[in-house]
Amino acid sequence: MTSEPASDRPRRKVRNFALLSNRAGAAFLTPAGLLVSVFVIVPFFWVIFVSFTNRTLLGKTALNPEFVGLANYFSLFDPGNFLQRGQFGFSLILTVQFVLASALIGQALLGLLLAWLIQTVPPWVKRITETFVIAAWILPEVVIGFAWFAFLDRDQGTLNAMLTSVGLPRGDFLLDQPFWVIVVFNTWRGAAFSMMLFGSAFSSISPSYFQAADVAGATSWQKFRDIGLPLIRGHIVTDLILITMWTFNTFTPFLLTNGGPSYRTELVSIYNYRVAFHDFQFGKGAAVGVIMMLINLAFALIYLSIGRKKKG
Amino acid sequence: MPGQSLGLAMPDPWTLANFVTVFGNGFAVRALWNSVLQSVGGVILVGATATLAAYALSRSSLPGKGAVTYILLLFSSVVSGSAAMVPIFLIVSAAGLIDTHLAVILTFAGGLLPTAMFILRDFIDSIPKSYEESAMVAGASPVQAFFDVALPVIRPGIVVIVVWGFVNIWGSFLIPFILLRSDTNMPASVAIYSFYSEAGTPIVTLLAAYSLLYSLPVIALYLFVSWKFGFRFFGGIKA
Amino acid sequence: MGEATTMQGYWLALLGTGEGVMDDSGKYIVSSQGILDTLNLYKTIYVDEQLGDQRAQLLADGRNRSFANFRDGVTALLFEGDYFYRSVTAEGSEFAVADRDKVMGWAKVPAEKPGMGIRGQDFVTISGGTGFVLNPATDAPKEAWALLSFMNEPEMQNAFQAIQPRITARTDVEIPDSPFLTETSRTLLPLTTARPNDENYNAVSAEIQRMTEAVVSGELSPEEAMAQYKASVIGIVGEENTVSLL
Repeated sequence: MTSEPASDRPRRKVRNFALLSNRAGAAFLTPAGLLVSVFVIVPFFWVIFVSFTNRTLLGKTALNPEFVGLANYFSLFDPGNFLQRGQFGFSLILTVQFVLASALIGQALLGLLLAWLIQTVPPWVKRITETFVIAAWILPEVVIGFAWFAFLDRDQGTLNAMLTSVGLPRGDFLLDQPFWVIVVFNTWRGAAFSMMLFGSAFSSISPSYFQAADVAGATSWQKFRDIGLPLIRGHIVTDLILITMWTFNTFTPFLLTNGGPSYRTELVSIYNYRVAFHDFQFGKGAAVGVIMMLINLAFALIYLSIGRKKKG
Repeated sequence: MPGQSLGLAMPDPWTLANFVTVFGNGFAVRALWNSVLQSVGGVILVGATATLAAYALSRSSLPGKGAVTYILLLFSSVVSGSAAMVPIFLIVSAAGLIDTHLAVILTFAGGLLPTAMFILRDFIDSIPKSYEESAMVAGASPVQAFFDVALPVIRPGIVVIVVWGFVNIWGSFLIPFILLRSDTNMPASVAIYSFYSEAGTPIVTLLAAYSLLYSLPVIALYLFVSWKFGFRFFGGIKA
Repeated sequence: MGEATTMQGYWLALLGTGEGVMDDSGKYIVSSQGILDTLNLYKTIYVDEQLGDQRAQLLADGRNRSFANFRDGVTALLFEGDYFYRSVTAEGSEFAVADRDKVMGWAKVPAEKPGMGIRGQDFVTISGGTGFVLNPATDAPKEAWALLSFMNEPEMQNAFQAIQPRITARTDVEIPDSPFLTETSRTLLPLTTARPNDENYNAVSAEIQRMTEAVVSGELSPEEAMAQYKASVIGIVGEENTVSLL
């Protein structure tokens, strides 16, 4: 007996001993594979195809759409009206501003602040804060939409009642400041994710770092800036990419403003809905979908490449 | 309208009359039932297919497994409901499923599956293979090992997926809004818009009562999850 | 915001200038004195003299707000159709006007100047409604035709009127016990017009709403709003299907 077979055995085991045969594995994968193919992968390619046609929901082009080349894209990017309210360019720029203000600044900063502050408060304060922030996030979107609508109403809204009682002037928020309404709304609604992500990141930092800083007499802000922030940098990047993608695709503000007044809160998702299901222009709606997916793709590739680097 | 205000003030006097009205409204009750059908149908489908698929991804040595995983992850983040509403409508329409519960169930299952698969795969990866190995040494087939040995161990992961899927489908608005037509099929998220007077102004007292009823399952699940798992179990409970 | 903005507002004012949304050859009019006069009317009412409730024009549920304003005596005058009488303000409805036969009346919409309305009329109006049509793809065309014929017999139409009185275009169908509907249909039907039967109309109508909104909100001047409308409608129907009168 030499020692060779002994060192050979584990290697063979690793090579051959898959618990599931390829055939069983394929069978296990099939149902999920079919569902994902039909409802995720096929739509991706179908939307590209439809975007080159003049398909509509009604009328003669509903049954017999014609190939129109890039006409839908030209109409989306028509320099004559691209930036006008109610047109694609306006929606796209509005959405970029919305993502910047409500996700990158609002949700991320609020989440970071909450995550940092609730570390040092008594456990019951922490628990109550978390419960409220998470409730805003998990309650059904229509319920949240109604609650905000009621809160902001000019004549009978709770916010105006509060303002009046402390002697401040009433506001007509949904009509005068619709963009800032949906920004605040989305910040409030989505801060929970960032809070939880940063919270778990902070709690994974070794307490000894902070203890050392305490000994050196560091303030809370110094600890945040010099210890907390640098150590969770990776999490911040992850968070920013994820909330950017979610906010870019969100449809929830529709439940609060319907995209109005006068298209002033018409994000690309709402624009897509209006073009396709209100104006019945499926071809043009599909073109909007393609552009949204290309933007999603760019963010997803960045995200995945960062994830790979981390693993590698 | 006297007694009605759009505010969130405490009702005065306290009354359960609005709940009685909601339960007396066949349409409203039906909508909650439709939400149950669609959410439960969706999570059963997602739970079952994701478990099988995640197990295969973790335990088999299928060629191209890594590439499949990567592509699925990519597509699932690229194809969002709001970007793909046109093709999803057209596919469901081509399948003759517009205005059916099945359309909503299948669409959500397809959309939630990639994420569900990855969460579960990570979960299964973290379980030592020795459980199933010892069963197979004792003479069990791989499929038996999966059902009798692995499945009970994976169960907490499946619970997470089921809760996550349920909350997602239960609260969603856009997909049923697009795919359903008739009042009798609408889930609560869409039907809630029927709590408007004939002329279209919201009947606030009913809306509030219904909103509360409609939110209860989500609140209950949240309490359940935070009691059982302490809410920090993974990236998020929402897509 | 919605078709009511176009039909129970813009159309009526535009018809009063002697124009329609389309010309006689079926081309969309995208630039004209009539459009400008109409937009200036909006500007006078909502911006310059603040005679109307601007919020009711701009908010998503604006039509209901205008109904509530009318019920509460805040708004004195609304452009509406017979539906407003049959349903909105009817007894038992949410926007019921108390004692309405005494406090509520109606008037025809006058043209910009006498004789200046469409077809040289002094007063203008427009009709819409419900139609029953055969689906060209039906498997049972004969039966469908028989059903429609049956439904359109005077006897059936009269029975339907007893359930739900409506303005009718037929001389052989009575409007029972409704002095209001009888009077309005006698006066208005000879004056009425209809919207074009065109697949692009909905999209154009949305542009009309955008145009009036831009003026009502004070964002654009009538000239700028019309230029925006022109560009958008050309984008929808193609330049060859439009005509500029200015």
